Amino acid sequence: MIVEYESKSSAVHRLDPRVKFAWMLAAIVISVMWTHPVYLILLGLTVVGFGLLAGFPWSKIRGVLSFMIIVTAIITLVQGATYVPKTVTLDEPARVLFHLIPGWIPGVGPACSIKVGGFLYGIGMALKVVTVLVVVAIFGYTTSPSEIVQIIARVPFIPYQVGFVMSTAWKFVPVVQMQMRTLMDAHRSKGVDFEQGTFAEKIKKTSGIVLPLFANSLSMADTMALAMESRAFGSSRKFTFIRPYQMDRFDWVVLIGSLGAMVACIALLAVFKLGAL
Amino acid sequence: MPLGQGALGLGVSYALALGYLVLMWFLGGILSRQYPIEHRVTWDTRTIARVTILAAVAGAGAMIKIPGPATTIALDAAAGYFAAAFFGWPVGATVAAIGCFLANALGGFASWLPMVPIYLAAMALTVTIAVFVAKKVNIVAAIIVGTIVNTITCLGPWALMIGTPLMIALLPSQIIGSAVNALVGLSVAEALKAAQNRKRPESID
Repeated sequence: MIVEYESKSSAVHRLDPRVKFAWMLAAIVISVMWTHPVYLILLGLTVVGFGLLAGFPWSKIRGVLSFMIIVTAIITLVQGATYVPKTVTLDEPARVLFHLIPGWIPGVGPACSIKVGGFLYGIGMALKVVTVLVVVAIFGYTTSPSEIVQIIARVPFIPYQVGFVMSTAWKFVPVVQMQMRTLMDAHRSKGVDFEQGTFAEKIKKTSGIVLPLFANSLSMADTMALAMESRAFGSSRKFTFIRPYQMDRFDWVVLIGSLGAMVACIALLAVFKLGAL
Repeated sequence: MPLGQGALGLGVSYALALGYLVLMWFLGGILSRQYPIEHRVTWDTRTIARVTILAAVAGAGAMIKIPGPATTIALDAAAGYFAAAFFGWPVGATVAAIGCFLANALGGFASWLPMVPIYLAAMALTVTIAVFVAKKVNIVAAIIVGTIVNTITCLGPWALMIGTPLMIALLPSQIIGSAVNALVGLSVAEALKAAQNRKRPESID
């Protein structure tokens, strides 16, 4: 996760994980549906408000956000230069806003014209990407990985084996990473330098870790299968969860608010084009 | 004309992902019929354990970084190729999809969360096609085809949504990343298969 989970007692942390998931889903769906930058800024502010309520450490996403701002600025300029969207709010979407290569450069300028429609559309797309990133970061900060997997395991139409695979795989990632570090240390002790050499040599050196890693994993899987069978895994389809979830009044308010806002946004967009550029 | 990152663009991309899954089932069905010993899988406890551990390897593989000529390459897809070649396409496709989800989740879904389901379908299709070609032609052709399919299936929806100029910029890193993952995954599977089939020296027995 971009920001690691922290156990706190904020109102958002105390929410039922399913409600937080519904909030995240609603925010993502709305961000996908809307294309107007003003509406997307409003959505972004709502998300920021939710983050403030959760005591989200904004400084921790500064690095990722800085990188995303560069990427999205490039997206915005490319869209502005290459795309003229069909809009319901702009009179002249093809009007030139400015030139990337200004007119005072002799011989080449003015060139690469940025059109209003494409530019605003690009800003909207950039806001979508950043909003989703922040939404996911807040969700990850307020919901523990085991709770995320519990949500997946509780989805009615997904077989319980999928929930088991995901939760167990998530927990095994650090174990595999530890094995990987051990293998790398073993190679380093024999004088292998993973940073040196050509690209082909680096791949060859890395393969030296991957082969024993896969071989180890197969034996680990066999041991795990034995442990699962010894506990009669799969003999019964009825199972219980260690932590049964109980929704309180605030959970219901946030759940109904999130899903209601999502439905209202879709309806208003379909009928009145609210949120469309 | 790009479709945009709105409902239309994403809807068409999800329809494409559905097409990936249909193609995967079709090619996988052929493999299961023609090579039942290798590609017909029973979903017993052992298979589930293998999928679990290999998905964890895929998640951890996202942290194995090889500094490449265009970008740093992560070995997150190698486990999917390996599983498809070693245990059959159903296991490979499942490992590729769940491993891709884990790798994305561990990275904080930095590459726009709504696209993740499309990547899962793309990875499942890629490993199935790669193992299909490996069976029908050879491992070199499988690496080439796997690289091309992975590049098209992952970048294709983005090209539909935001146009080709940005995608052209991403092509080199995507191609190199896909090729290295296919090379490592398939060659390790071949090496382990060969080791399994090799007669053990009498001194060990």
